[in-house]
Amino acid sequence: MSVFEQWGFIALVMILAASGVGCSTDSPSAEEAPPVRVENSDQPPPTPRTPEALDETVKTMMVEGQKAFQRGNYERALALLDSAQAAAPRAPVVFFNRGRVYTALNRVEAAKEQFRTAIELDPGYPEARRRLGDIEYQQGESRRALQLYRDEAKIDPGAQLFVNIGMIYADQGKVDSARAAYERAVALDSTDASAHMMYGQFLEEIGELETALQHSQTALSINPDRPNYQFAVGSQLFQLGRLEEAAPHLKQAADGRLLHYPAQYNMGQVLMRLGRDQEAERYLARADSSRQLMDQITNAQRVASQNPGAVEHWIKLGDLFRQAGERNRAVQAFNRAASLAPTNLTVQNRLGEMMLAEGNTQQAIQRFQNIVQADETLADAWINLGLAHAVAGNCEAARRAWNTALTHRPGDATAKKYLAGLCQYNAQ
Amino acid sequence: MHGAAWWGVLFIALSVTGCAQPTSSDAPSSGNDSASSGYFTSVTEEAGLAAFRHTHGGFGDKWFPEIMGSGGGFVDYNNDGWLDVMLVGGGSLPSRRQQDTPALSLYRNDGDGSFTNVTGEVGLGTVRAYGFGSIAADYDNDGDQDLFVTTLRENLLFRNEGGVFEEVSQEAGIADVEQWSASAVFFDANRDGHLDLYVTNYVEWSPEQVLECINRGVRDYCNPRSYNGVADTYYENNGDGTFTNRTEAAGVLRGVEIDASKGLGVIALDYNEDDWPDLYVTNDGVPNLLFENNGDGTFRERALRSGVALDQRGTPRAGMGLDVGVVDSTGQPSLFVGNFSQESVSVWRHQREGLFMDRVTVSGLRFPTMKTLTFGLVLFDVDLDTDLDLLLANGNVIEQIAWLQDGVTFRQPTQLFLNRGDGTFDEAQDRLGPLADSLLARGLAYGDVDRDGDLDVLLTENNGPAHLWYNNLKERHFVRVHLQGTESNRDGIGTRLRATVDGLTMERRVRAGSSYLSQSEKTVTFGLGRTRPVSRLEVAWPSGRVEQFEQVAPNQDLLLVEGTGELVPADTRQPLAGR
Repeated sequence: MSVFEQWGFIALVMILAASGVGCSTDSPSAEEAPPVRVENSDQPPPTPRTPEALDETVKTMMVEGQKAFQRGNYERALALLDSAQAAAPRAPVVFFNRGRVYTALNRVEAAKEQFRTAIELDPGYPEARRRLGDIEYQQGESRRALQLYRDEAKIDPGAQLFVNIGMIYADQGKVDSARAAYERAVALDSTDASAHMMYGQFLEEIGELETALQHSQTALSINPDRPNYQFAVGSQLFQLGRLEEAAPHLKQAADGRLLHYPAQYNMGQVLMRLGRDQEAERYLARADSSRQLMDQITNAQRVASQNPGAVEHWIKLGDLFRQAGERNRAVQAFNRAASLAPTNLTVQNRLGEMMLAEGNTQQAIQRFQNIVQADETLADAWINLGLAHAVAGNCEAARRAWNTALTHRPGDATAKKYLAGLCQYNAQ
Repeated sequence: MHGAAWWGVLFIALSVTGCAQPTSSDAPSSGNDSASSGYFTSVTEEAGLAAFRHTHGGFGDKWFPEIMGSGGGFVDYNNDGWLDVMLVGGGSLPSRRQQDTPALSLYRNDGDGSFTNVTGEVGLGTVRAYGFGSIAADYDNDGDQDLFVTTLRENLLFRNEGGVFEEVSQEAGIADVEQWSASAVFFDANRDGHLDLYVTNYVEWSPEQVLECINRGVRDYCNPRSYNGVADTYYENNGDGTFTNRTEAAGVLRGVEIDASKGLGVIALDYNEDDWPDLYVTNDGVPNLLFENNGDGTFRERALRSGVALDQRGTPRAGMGLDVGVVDSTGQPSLFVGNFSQESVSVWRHQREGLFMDRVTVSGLRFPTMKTLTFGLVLFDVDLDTDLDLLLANGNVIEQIAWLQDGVTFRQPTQLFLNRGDGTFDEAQDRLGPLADSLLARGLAYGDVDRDGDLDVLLTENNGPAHLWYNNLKERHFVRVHLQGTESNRDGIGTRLRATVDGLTMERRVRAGSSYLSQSEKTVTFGLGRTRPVSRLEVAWPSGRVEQFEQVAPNQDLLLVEGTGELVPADTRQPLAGR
């Protein structure tokens, strides 16, 4: 696997919206572009070249680049990759990872160019064809994608690759070929939960619900913590009329993730059929709220990816993720904003709030202090600083911060509430 | 877009610059279908219908209404026992130069396989409107079929006076709403013997509100999300040839977000078997609606709790044409709804107490309908083997869809799914006949045009021709029942018929309006599979009267006049020679 494996939160959320499954963060994003050459599948598998040896400096750059990428700081990731390329101009890994950064930035043409260069430098470089295939697939070029996947299979025939091949065959209406590809995927790695899950989804689509359920249950037994897997099992049991069995699975998925409106909806429907109308109504109402929030997130993602240099769109996206309880994705979006505008105090304030929410109290205090030093009139930052101090048990510092907030925004209800509540409590 | 709802692809398209090529199926249809097939033969040309063209009035700016119409259907307007064809013409968009296109064209079935355009002579030739749907029923119970046409503005009602139509929209009280209307149904909501009217309204649109949407650098139709929805309209028949708008009083606005109501399809059903007709309404991109009749002609909305508002994942779909019928041995009705490509059709079967179960997966229809955008949708027994089959009229709304959705084309073939008898379906493979032709289909209706006992098909295309397909069935065993209400409405709309053959019970209902913008025949057809009598026929009229018959001989067209207790031959004339 590549060093940059945590990317693609946009794609993940879109998959969740579209399928309710979201099996792989590597699934291609829905917003990308055009053609590439078709490679000949009749050729023998490419021979891997001995990779250009990377010195320690370059390796360090790569690791730092990965970290920057994981934080959503794509500009820094690209800068580090540029530096790595200067030191090792023919290292395919640099081009490959730059392709992934460009993919995340929705610069798909540039991404494809990078993947192609990685392949030219090392025809046996693993994953490059798969990434290229993902983009082609997303662009509706399924035949090209299929060819790329087949070529990749000669180099690195992993289960996920055959899952992708199965998806394409299914899209093309070739049920038998799709089934064979999925069978190959689960045979290659019977412990690959995602392969079982996707096979189950395919079988469900073609109406083989009982077998679909078996694969979904296998996936769930391998990875029992995934709300999406719980949902898949629950919804298939529901479709089979096994309501009592479906309910606990759907409940786990519905309660485990605020945004999981498909699970909440199905839970509502199951409860309705079990005669538990009031509970059912609550789940159906939750599903409606979650779906609306999901729609807002999807829209915000689209806007942000179409305007990747606009800080405010990433902030809005982060706010929506936070509202949805998707903290990691919120942090990624805020980091993306911070990488675009490191001195934007609104962004810094959001990141401080996230640190506080995650329990990194001292880091949050430091962050809020930096903000009020940069602009001592920011009442929100003072309020947050007070909150962080309060969490740290320093009531006096909290009181000072909130009082300062009130000097800049007299009458602020939040500051007054905190001030009254916490210090009263401490006084007692 | 919600999930995969249809117009959303336009938004995605803004960032997609892929280079997939449209397939050959995107070539426009000439109206000259492939001549023959296993299931149907196109007779459009021979029938004299080839000259008809729906005109959408487009001039390059992609005004939204252009792509949505239109419909048509079967009606015996002159009571000669032969089904005539009505076709909605489209025409000129408001504020544009007016073309000379009748709002509704009528083609008389001459009984010899040909049709004659009688639009002018029956009084329809001078009526101009940008039309969408048409339905037919005897709303004034005077023994002939009246016509209702939905349009972009005021709808039109044509009263039949001895085979000539008089436009009575204003005096009848149905021209009070100036909205873009789509499908409509006549049904007797309060069971007073007079047909009421439910009209779906789509979105707020006017030439002054035209939005400009760009898709792959080219102007294209806008997403309906860009427009506010509008409330549907419900009219109660006063019994004197006029109607009263009782939309609010009947409760069809209660619990419905008006701007989120974008109706395209509607059907009357009685899912809870309380003998009061309910309504199911399909909306585009917002939840569908299920109006349960309170037993007095007022309604309450129950779709979400019943499980028929949203898809399996709790997402609204782009609902369009629809039908309902008993497709298996449970005796429970199943709802079938056409949706956008990548959504598949929807199938729900009533379980109990107003709750439905999603059946699209187990019915086998999910996978084969993922690539098609279904407008017209009808359930009828194509092969007369006793069970209801499914026919889908398909065609996309985005000209560049081939670039946006892999394997999806603008023009699409019609799909026939044959029922195995248990509510699971197999797609009929028919590469030679008209089923293989790619159309931009919208309306779809069935009826026994040639009076040979099997059911033929009418399809309409957007900005294109209509198609008449004869059913090719060689061995036909059937019983067809024509109804004439006396205490109930004259057409017997809402009547439930159950026929039992060798222990198997079939159920059919008489309807005016279903599918998309279309009218199928109101005569009920029971396929018998092989020659055998109907051991028991039960007819339950809306009035509450139930009439039962034993040992009804096969291969007959029968007429039942309510209350007579007697089935008589409907007509003595012979079917078309050679058919």
